[in-house]
Amino acid sequence: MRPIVSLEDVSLRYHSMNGETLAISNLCLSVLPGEFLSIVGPSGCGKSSLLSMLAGLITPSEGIISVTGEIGYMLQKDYLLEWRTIRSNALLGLEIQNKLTPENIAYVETLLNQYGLGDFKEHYPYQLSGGMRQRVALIRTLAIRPDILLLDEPFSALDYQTRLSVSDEIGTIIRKEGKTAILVSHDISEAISLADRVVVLSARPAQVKKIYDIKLSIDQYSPIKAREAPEFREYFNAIWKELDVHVA
Amino acid sequence: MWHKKAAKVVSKEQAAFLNRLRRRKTAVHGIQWVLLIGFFLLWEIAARLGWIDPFIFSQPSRMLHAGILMGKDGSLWTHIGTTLWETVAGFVLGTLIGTLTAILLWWNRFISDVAEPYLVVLNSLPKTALAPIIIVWLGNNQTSIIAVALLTSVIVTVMSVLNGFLQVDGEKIKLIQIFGGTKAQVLKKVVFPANIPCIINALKINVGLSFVGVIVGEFLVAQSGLGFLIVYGSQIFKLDWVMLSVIILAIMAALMYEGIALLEKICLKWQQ
Repeated sequence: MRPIVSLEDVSLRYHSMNGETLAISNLCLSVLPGEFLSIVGPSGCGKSSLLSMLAGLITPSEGIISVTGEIGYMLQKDYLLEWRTIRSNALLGLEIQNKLTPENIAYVETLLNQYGLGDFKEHYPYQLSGGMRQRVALIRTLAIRPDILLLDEPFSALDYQTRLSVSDEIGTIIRKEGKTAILVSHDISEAISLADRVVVLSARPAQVKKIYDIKLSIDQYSPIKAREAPEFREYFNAIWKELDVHVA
Repeated sequence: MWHKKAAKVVSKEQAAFLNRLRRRKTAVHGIQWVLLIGFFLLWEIAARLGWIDPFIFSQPSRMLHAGILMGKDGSLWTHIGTTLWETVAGFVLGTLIGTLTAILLWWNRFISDVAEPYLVVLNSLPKTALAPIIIVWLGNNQTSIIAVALLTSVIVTVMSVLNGFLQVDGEKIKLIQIFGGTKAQVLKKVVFPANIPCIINALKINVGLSFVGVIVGEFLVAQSGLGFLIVYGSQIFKLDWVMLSVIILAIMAALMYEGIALLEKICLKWQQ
């Protein structure tokens, strides 16, 4: 299979008054269609910059990035616009891309109904729970029918309970819709529970340190059940060591 | 709004709590009225009993009398109408031009950086100091008065709206860019709507500022308007006119403020 996303020798430098920072150095990575890839790394290692490059928001200083397909991007919080209703928030992406066709609108309606937001279309964001808001944010991303989803710690603003169930929900939705996903996270458990492969990045300048193929003995994909699989702990410990987290 | 369907059954404790709240509200409103009526009553009594000289302090009954006379001959309505028109024109134009300028400065950070020190100085400058210059330039007419009113509110609008624009969460702007949105779309979909509360707030402040500009303008040039009535009345010692005008101004300012509060309610139904 040909990769849907590939990075070859990608480097990124930041310029500021205080000088030049090498954030990412000679990074090579490829992602296959339908794959769920998690990227973990020490904080500030350039994970978010990596996603911004994939989304085309910043250009790499060196190297080649190739992406075949439409990109959808989920940010760290839901960032629903408070003055728009749920329906209108879900349609934002289509509106910006001038794709508000009856067919696309119907698709968004279907997604909203399917994922338990049917009764809340005319509500405003403040009236919804954190988990529901996150689902609206996902539907807003899915509305433009992306082939690849970039997830930048999309659950980090939620409390632990909600976070578990939302990551389970959203992971399952992404599988069901057959999307390729790249998740950036600092939560090792979350990264393992959702992904087919976990990429460990080094501290700045970021490079690929190690890649783990996640194979868990569970019957059916479920991020919550994944945590109970016997292999889970081994992966966790291995990645923990690889990350070399120093607790002060 | 589904969470407003909360149980209709009210417990005894809750009823007592609501009752306390209601009583407190009644007390606040009651005392507000008593103070207002008491003030005018005391004024009237003080004038009648000779504690104060009604010739220089006026008195409510004389103001009312003057008001009725001027209402009958129509001159009062002309004065109110003039001031009202100038003030509304001043704050609407001030808010509009201020907001448009803020958009320009947001759009082009270079221009904004260049303009910054000038804005800071202009903001601290008492704009009424410019009134005589405006009158020399634009002439002895209503346009000058509106221009002065506009000047008093425009700079502070630019500063506060631009500040609001710059405080919009960068991630929300990123959200638009992720979908391939242009700068115009960032403005239209996020930056501007996010700042409607800020612009309405500017409108509220501008009502007061615009009145200052109009009254100063009318002091200097007008042939009609409440500001003119105040200056003219004080020159010929018709303190009834002066006091009446001040009270009418207070009522007009209150009504305009309420009008904008109503507009705010309509525009911001998405706020909790």
